[in-house]
Amino acid sequence: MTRRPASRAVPLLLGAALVIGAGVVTAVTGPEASLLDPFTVGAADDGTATARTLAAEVTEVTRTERVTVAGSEWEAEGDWLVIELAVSAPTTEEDAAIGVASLLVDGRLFQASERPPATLVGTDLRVGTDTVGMVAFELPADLRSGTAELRLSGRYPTPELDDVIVFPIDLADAATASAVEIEEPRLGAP
Amino acid sequence: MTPWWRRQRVALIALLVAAVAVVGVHVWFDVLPAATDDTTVVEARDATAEVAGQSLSLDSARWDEFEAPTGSRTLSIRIESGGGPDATMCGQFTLAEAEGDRVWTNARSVLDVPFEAGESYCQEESGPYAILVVFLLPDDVEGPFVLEVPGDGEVARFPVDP
Repeated sequence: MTRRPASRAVPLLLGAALVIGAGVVTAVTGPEASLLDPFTVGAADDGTATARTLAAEVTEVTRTERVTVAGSEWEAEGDWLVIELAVSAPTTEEDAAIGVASLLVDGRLFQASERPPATLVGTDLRVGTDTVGMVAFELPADLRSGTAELRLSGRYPTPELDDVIVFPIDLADAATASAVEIEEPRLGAP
Repeated sequence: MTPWWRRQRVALIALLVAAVAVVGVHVWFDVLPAATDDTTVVEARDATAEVAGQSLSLDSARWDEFEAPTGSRTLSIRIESGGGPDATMCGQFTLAEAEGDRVWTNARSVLDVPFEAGESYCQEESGPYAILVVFLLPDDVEGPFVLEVPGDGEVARFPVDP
């Protein structure tokens, strides 16, 4: 039995359509890392941003050239940005803490300094009661203006498919002080 | 002329077997291990439950025993343990809303609670001893609550209505 030319062309056309379809799917699929990107959460009208494991509010932003720590002899000079936050846990106190606090400026990512003996990073958070504390960033001297992003996430260092709180921080608008005393995190309203 | 699906039946059966195998392997190796939860829940009877090789009895639940920041108050829960030869340590005490999804953990470390007021969690003790856990709750929370004590693959649940 001889096959008609039209029916012989069907497999070829189907094959070509599948190859083109595969190419289109590959082209429109994002990079693999983007499949695991975190969800960014911004502040609501009252200034509080509520993510899956954190609820946070920025209460004060200060630039200074000298930081000290209450009740400690430690001090450091440099270009510091000290951010005071009021943070709590929205639903559970189990594993509730800021694990990573970072500042994104012009594509450069700075982690909160681990040098000051007092920091809000890693402090156990409470449900329904604020913990007020500070995080300090040591920045290069040339970063004096522009908008930075303060990014806060939970215990896991890589917040894949998890919430990350993002606050815009205007570096030019930050208050300046000759020195800032970093206090141990405390319970209560800011 | 035989229908298309009859001519292709070997390929179709092979495809079906392969699809079942793919689903089976995924369920067997990925879904079932993640869903396995071996924790046994022990509901307290007459405010007493056996967990971590010892008998725990809920003694009291008291508001405002310790100083708390404005807008919050403390709930102190005292538990008597009988101890015993098989007593082991237990996990973190948690207090959950009975009708809600908020969960608190022991906040003794941030409150001014004297060290000698009681243990913070169960001990490997052969004799009786007392446990004091203190939760820091916002003012708007009234209860009732459920206190959970995990230990040794089990979790004891005590209803608490202060």
